[in-house]
Amino acid sequence: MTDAHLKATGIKVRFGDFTALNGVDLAVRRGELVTLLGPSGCGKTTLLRVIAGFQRQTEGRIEVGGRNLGDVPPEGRNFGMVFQSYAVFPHMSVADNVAYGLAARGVRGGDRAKRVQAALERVQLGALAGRFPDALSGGQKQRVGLARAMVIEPDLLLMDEPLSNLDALLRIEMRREIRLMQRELGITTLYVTHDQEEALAISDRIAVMRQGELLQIAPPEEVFEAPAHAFVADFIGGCNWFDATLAPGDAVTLAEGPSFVLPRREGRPSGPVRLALRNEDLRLCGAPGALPCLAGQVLMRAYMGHRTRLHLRLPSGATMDADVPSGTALPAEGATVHLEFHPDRARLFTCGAGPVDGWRIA
Amino acid sequence: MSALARLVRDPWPLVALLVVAIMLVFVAWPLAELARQSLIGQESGRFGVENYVAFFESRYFRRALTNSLTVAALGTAISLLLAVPLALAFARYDFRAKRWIEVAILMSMLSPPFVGAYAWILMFGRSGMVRQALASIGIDIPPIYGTFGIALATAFSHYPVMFLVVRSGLSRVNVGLEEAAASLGRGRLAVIGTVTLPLVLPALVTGILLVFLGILADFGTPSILGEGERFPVLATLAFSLYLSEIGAEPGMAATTAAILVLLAMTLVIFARWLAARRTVSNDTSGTRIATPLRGGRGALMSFGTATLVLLANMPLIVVVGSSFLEVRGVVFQPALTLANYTNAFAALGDALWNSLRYAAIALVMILVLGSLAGYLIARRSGLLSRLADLLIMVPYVVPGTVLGIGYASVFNQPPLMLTGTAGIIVVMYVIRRLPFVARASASIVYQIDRGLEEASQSLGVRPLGGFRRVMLPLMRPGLLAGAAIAWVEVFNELSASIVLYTGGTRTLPVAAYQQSLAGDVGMAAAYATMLIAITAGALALFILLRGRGDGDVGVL
Ligand SMILES: Nc1ncnc2c1ncn2[C@@H]1O[C@H](COP(=O)(O)OP(=O)(O)OP(=O)(O)O)[C@@H](O)[C@H]1O
Ligand SMILES: [Mg+2]
Repeated sequence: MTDAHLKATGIKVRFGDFTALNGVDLAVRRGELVTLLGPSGCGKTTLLRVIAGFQRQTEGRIEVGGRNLGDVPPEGRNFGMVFQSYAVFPHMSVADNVAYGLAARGVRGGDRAKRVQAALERVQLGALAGRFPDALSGGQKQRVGLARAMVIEPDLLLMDEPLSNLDALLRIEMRREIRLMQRELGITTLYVTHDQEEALAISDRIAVMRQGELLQIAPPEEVFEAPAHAFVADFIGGCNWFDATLAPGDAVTLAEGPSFVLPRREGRPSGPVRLALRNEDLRLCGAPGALPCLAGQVLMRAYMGHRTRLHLRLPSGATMDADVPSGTALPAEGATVHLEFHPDRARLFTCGAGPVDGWRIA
Repeated sequence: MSALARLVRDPWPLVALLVVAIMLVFVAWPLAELARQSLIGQESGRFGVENYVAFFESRYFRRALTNSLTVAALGTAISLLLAVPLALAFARYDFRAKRWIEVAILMSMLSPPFVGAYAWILMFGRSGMVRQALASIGIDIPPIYGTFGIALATAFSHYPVMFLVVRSGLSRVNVGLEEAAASLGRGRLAVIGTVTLPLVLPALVTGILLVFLGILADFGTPSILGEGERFPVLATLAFSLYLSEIGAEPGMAATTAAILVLLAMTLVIFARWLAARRTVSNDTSGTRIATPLRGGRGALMSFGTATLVLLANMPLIVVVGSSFLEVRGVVFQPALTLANYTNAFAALGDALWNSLRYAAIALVMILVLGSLAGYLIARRSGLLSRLADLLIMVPYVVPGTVLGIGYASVFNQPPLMLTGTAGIIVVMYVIRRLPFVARASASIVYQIDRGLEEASQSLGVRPLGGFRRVMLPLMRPGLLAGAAIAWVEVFNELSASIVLYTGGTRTLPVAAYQQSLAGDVGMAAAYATMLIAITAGALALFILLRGRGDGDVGVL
């Protein structure tokens, strides 16, 4: 990426024998919001702290706006940070919290007061400037954290799971506010979360991590529709997995029986593969037709509103889930049903033991 | 960035270096010197364990060792008997006058232990008031000197520590666990035995360790109630050996001191091992709320605890009361007078002024060093701060007498010629209290979200600026509590001062001790009362300074 604002290259972090980050490359454009998404312990916080300057990388280089940050301490980077624990100074009023960074920059008097007030209004805390943090709710505290980080006009905004201590409804409301504010002010933002729904909703692009590696960085639609790696497919949205064989001539045969032919493409490897189907890509059909079709016995039905999840057992004994529209005549528990899928919806991944294991077959 | 620029930005490594240097000079060096002296044979002058062999071959020295252990064990046991019921009552129930009774418990900590010892002599000594009164109605009890007396006196002055530790342990036991056990059909006693006890065991072990070490290190009490050489313990033995070796070959004093330190270290290590082996993680989420007791049961609880505490405070009451009584010979008369105070002030010299000055200077230094060191221990993981952490805990196992003897033997010549100066007393005060304040401040820092400092830094403030503007204000209440306790301990310090003082640097506890040991009984009572009054006054001042916070003194 040539127009990158933040550019991290080859970031490695080792804690003793343990490799927390294993050569991560990440580029974020000016004004973009990128989320780091991955399971617990994959290194999201570590990467964020390396960028913030709180954790020294073992190897690698970080640039922001073309400036190499190698020796720049955190207080010299001009990054805003928002913390999961809010980290609001408990002994200072809301206004003093927000003024803290401005004071350090020598902004004084009326100018400072004006900027503090403006920042507080933006997060809807204008009326609470004189309150102390122990008289604020969690959501209000995090708003103070946001205002405090934004008011210094940071070159980069870093947020580590800022919403995970809030309840579900507030989380949704606040992520919308964060997104609107971030767009309006055009602040380049790196946002850590382990909540895939939050990542899908808020991001320009999502960087999916696993065990210290970055597997894919792409817009939400692409990460969801065209996962580059089996782990990405499974982590975002969830999938049913089938063993299959890819024969020369692009014919795919599932161990469960059905087979179909992929559109012709040069250079596809042949051999055993793993095939992923999302729950909602399976459709109930009366009898096997032109499309590949699986038969299964309904073990359980779970009503989820617009859709109903069928938990099925396949002839091989394996189980899978299918989400079908509610309202239509649904099979009873115990009934055997047929489910078809469109070959386009099937995603194939390599299967083996090497480092390329799990990558999408082009 | 150059190394220098890095230090200007973040001077914590320098602070660590300073702490390490201080501890090396004022702890490691004197102790190393004592160790060296103990390994040079007093008779032969050869390097080896000759002195240790001599120590264990001497009946008298062996007796000091067994006396020390017996007194400490017995004293700890009595403290447990006093403190555990009180701790249970305080952790589990609310009753009338609870706060006042608590203040009364803490009062016992406000005076040096030897004051309590002196009070016991006033009551049950050879010409003790109670003993005489009993004798006049035909009941003869032996005077209190010796093992039992020392154990009793030390127990009465050390039990508040046990009380605080055990109570905080008890109030952290998750109610849910006890309720679960009770709902599984366990009886009340069975619940205490199978659930409560294992969970408070760590606190109990800590309390026992603190009290045992405290008694082991106590110099004043055994010296007064042991009648000098007649009932030696290690601390008094080391002191009298030190006095007798002045100008002669050193060796046995150092050996006794070394044995005392080794004993304390062994105990600490054993307690650590015990705690590590028995540690159960206690989910403290359901912290207990004390049950209010009303009506008859409440009154009974108030009465019972108050009586117990009154009994425990008897020695102090006796001392203060008798300081206003007329004295004829060595016997108090039932007539009020201020003569004891007039005499005391006349003989006081600089003692009071010295004590106030030294303690105040030391307190400031303790607070500065302690807060810095505590922060280092909690937040920095570098080699230097780990070394500082290790070194700072050493004085914890070094009895005052030992430290005093160590100082007297290294700082009596260049390059650091300090003996006889006020400086050596101040330094000794600082070193003796630093571990406690550093630990307390570390535990406060551990409780403060690391994110606060990172937030400060990300907002453009350097680490030291963040420490000043974010950490210090948040540490202040805890530091003040630590300071209050440090003040009590420093102002009342005797066991090292008695080694280090000279005519011009005599302190109030030294004066009080000397009068109690062999002086005027009335003046001794007056000095002791002054100690108690000033300590209590200072403590009240701290509490006012701190504002209306919760009475959490858990920073021992
Ligand atoms: N200071 C440290 N020393 C040793 N290991 C560490 C240290 N900090 C992090 N780790 C390890 O590095 C790995 C990545 O940690 P990190 O905090 O970056 O995970 P994360 O993706 O943020 O997880 P979570 O979603 O739980 O916050 C973890 O296995 C963690 O145990
Ligand atoms: Mg994390």
